[in-house]
Amino acid sequence: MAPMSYSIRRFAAAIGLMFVALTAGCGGGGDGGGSIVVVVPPPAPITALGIVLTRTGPLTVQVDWTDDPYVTDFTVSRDGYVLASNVTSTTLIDHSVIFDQTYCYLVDGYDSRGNLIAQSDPACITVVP
Amino acid sequence: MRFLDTLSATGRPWALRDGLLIFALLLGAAFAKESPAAEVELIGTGTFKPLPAESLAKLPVNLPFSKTDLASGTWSFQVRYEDRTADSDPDPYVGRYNGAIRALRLTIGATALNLPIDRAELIVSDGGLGFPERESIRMQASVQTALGVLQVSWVQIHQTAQRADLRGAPGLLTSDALPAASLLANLPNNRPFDRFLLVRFDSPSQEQPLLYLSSSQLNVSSRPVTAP
Repeated sequence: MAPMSYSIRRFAAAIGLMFVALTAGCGGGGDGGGSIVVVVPPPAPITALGIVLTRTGPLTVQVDWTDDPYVTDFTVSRDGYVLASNVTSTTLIDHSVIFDQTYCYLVDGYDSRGNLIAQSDPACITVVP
Repeated sequence: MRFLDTLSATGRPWALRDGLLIFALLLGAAFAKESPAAEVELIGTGTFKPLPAESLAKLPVNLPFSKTDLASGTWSFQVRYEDRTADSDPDPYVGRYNGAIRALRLTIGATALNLPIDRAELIVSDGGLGFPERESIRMQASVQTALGVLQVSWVQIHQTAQRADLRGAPGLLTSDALPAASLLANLPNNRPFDRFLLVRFDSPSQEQPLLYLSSSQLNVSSRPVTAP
């Protein structure tokens, strides 16, 4: 985890965008010189997380996902409902599955300010007897 | 012959003879294609998540596979089956091909195990088994040991998220007939975890399996078995 580096990255991105906006304003050739352009820093791009599901028992699914250096905690959702939040590891074992059901898992990663900065694709598994 | 002689008098004997010859050749070719039972081999190799040290430490010592094997994270399977076996299940959407599997070998790490085939099963479900939206192919074998039952399964599922009816033409499997070898090796599916190799070891005295390994990380191919 490197929140300081991340902040620097976001700040640099914002300055860059502001520069582009000001440049665009000057080059327009209009008579609106002197107007103030307020630029809201764009949200940081969401990093893709890898996700792997493994049956580790008849009624057990283990969810593993990749780490991201700017993520401080993860949230694991199953079928749209939060299964676990504030997870600081990269693995979770789901014991609450039953046979012949299909479950889709999704992992979200948040930075220290609570911004969503990383997300996995949904991964689905059917618990076959 | 009399028929031939009669036609011969018309002045077109060769046309008929050639036609009969071609018909006989086609018939022979058709029988030659249908009659011999063909054996096919599936070969799958891949990886599984190695058991952590604490799980390895809890395993009984006399499992068929060593702890080194189970920590290796590599495995493979070979199944040889006969592709003309008849369906023994009257269910129109479920095919059970008893006796089709002629050999099943599982290798974990450096240890190979040939499972007996007397309890081997090859089951094809074309939206049967109570799940019209699901098609599946399952090959499995099990062996009774002093410790318990070791079961090996190669399972593939094709299913839709919606409650569609995949029975018959709408699905990939249009019937419960034994599919082509390419499908037994790689049934297309919508989710990467809908195909997996499973190995479990159950003790009659334990509710949970002593060993449970499952992985979808497999490359599977098929090839006809040639006579030695």
